[in-house]
Amino acid sequence: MENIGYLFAVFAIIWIALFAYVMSLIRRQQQLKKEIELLKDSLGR
Amino acid sequence: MNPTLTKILAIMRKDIIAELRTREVIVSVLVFALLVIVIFNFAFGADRPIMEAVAPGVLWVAFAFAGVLALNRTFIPEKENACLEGVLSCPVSREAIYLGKMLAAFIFMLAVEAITLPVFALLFNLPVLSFPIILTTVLATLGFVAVGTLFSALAVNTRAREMILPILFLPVAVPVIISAVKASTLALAGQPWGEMFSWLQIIVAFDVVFLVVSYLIFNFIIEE
Amino acid sequence: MKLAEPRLSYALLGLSFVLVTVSLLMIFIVVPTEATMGIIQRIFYYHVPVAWVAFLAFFVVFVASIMYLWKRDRKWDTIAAASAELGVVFTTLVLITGSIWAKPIWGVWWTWDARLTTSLVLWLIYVAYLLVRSYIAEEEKAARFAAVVGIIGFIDVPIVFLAIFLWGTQHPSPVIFDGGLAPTMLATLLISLAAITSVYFLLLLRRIAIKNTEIELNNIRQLHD
Repeated sequence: MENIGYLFAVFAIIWIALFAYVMSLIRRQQQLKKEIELLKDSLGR
Repeated sequence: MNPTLTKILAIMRKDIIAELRTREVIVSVLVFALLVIVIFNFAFGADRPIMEAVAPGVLWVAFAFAGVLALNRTFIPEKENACLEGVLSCPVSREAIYLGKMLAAFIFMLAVEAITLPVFALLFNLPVLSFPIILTTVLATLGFVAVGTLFSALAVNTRAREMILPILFLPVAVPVIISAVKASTLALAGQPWGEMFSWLQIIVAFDVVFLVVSYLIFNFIIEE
Repeated sequence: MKLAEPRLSYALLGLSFVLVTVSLLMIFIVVPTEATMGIIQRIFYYHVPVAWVAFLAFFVVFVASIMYLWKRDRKWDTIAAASAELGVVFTTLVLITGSIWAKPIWGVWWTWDARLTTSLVLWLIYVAYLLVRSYIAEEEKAARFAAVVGIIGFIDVPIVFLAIFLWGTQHPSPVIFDGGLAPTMLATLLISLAAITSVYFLLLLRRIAIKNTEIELNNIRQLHD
């Protein structure tokens, strides 16, 4: 079971990285939603 | 003579003459190349065996960076002085512009190399003026300018201008640099043509592929 | 654009979840430990698929770039941009996981092995692609220039690999492993490949959807002004 630390590190990094990317996508989506709301308000209807 | 060929040569001549008038770019690029070599010499402590081992690498680092400097100048003056619109308003095909500028850059680089190589031979007492090395240099430079001219036109039209060219260009040029250094190393060691040949083949393949591709794609960069 | 339709994304999400779960099961429970490298060899089952999918992503950029220059339809540029982003993410993962794998096996964090070095050059080329995109303000110009870089970059890849491979055979390169793959190992590899590919497509679709929303928003803004 030597090196199990490295094994764990690899899988952890892969999923953390992908997760971080998904989070950035979600954040951008939220931001876009907010801008759409602002635009709707400023268009008045 | 074929009218397109005339136009290509005209564009090439225009660039060369413009440069010959002031000579500012060729002098700076030359001095830069020599500086790179000298600084590397200090960096490696002028240790004879080490210098011999890294000599081809040093040479090609100097050429690669000098090349980027030179390529930057291919399109920046056009952009700054709005010459490009002038050239485009003539009935000249974009491909011809590409070839003309590429040939001018090629000749320019060859001039720089023609001076740098003997100086290098002098400073390091290494036989770099051999036929294999000269052949390698010419072929590698051709590949350089083939892609470099295309990327130079691209870089000039971005916000970062000169700075983006090395970032864009050097990774793509990696095969040429590797092959040129390897081939030069073999040549300096006096090896027979056999192994050197594989490296030269890579350079030639690069040249052919990117001459064709850049020629076809250049259209899309200069579209306004 | 029908690709970004939510239903497709949800289907991919479900598929990805299943495939990833099965692949993890295979990697950590089912597949036997490899003799030479021990437990750390299991990295192989994710490292290799991630590398292949990175390459797939750049191939998608290549095709989308050609299609954009040919058809001038914006959707191709959106696909290229999204795929390039993902390609860089995946290539970064290849470099990091490759490095972590190298440390216990070869004792060093980095080696100029042909595959790792090519990945590094690949990373540099596509980071430059993303930089070019960010350094141009006008949409159409950015799309056009990026397409050029996407095409040249991809064509360069085999030549880069060839040169680095030839260069690498001069130094004794650490062997990844020799011999064939036992059937369980092959199955694990393939399922992991399917899992990572599925995740790639899922992320690609979501990224495209966001880009489309951005475009629409900008259109409305411009009409409004």
